[in-house]
Amino acid sequence: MTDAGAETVRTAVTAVRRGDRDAFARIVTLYERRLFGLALMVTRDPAGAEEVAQDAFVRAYMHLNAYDIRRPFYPWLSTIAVRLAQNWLVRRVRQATREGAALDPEADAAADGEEDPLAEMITAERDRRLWDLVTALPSGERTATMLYYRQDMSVNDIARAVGVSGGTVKTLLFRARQKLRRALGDRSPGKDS
Amino acid sequence: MNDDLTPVLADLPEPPVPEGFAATVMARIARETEQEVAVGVASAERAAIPAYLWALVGVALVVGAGVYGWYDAGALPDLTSARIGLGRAVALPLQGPALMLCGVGLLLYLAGLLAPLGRRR
Repeated sequence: MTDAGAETVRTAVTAVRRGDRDAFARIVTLYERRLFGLALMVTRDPAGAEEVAQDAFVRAYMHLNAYDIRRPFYPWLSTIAVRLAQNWLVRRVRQATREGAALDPEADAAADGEEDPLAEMITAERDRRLWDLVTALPSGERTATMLYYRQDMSVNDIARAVGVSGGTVKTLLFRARQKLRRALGDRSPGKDS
Repeated sequence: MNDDLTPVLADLPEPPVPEGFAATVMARIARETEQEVAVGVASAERAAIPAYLWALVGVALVVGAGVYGWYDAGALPDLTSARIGLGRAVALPLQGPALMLCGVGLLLYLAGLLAPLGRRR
């Protein structure tokens, strides 16, 4: 985060703690896109991502006293979001198991005629292919990859957010990188011909 | 752990946020804050009821023990007199169980009176 962003958060948090509820809107505006992107990556469901991102902001507001103002805000916020997204996934699996429905949100989305909103924005062929590969990774590898590469989180921050050890995060990243490189290599024009 | 995937993945665009997202979040925060305040007030009022009751019981015990003490000592003031209590020593003629009841009543009254301070801490 930029210094200006950090200053915005510090000022807003101080104002909220003094009772100015509306100051939190500045934090929401600053991080809404990034947090929604994170939730979307974990849930792979736009409606679920919106629910998770909203819940994360509301929970962050309600527990703002637990936030240490000397530390960066986003890792704290994204930890809340990742936990909520994991709970959302668990609920979804339970619901699907109860109802005997499909478990793959992509399959659901395709059936509903929806497409991944990020995939729609990616126009370059290689980027689109990479994105498809990332979304096809298993949940743990996908989450670790996205937190590391897209959210600029350190291995330790990811470990805290996901609730696993740093070693596990490194393993997940290693496996994901191997799969992505292999898939990108296999599908490159040189290899296809 | 930066590698060749870093620039590609980092440069992918962020998905657009649903319309009115920030406004919805702020509206939810407002609703949940008000609910929390309402729940807090209601639970504080509920928690205060036993304290009021114990304080009332304490007052009743002290008054009852006092009246009993005066009655037992044959020193009830003449309520029909225009000069109630004049010339009598101001004393609470309590002994034994009545004195103990009066003490318990005073303690209950004080406990009920000070209970809100304990909750606020």
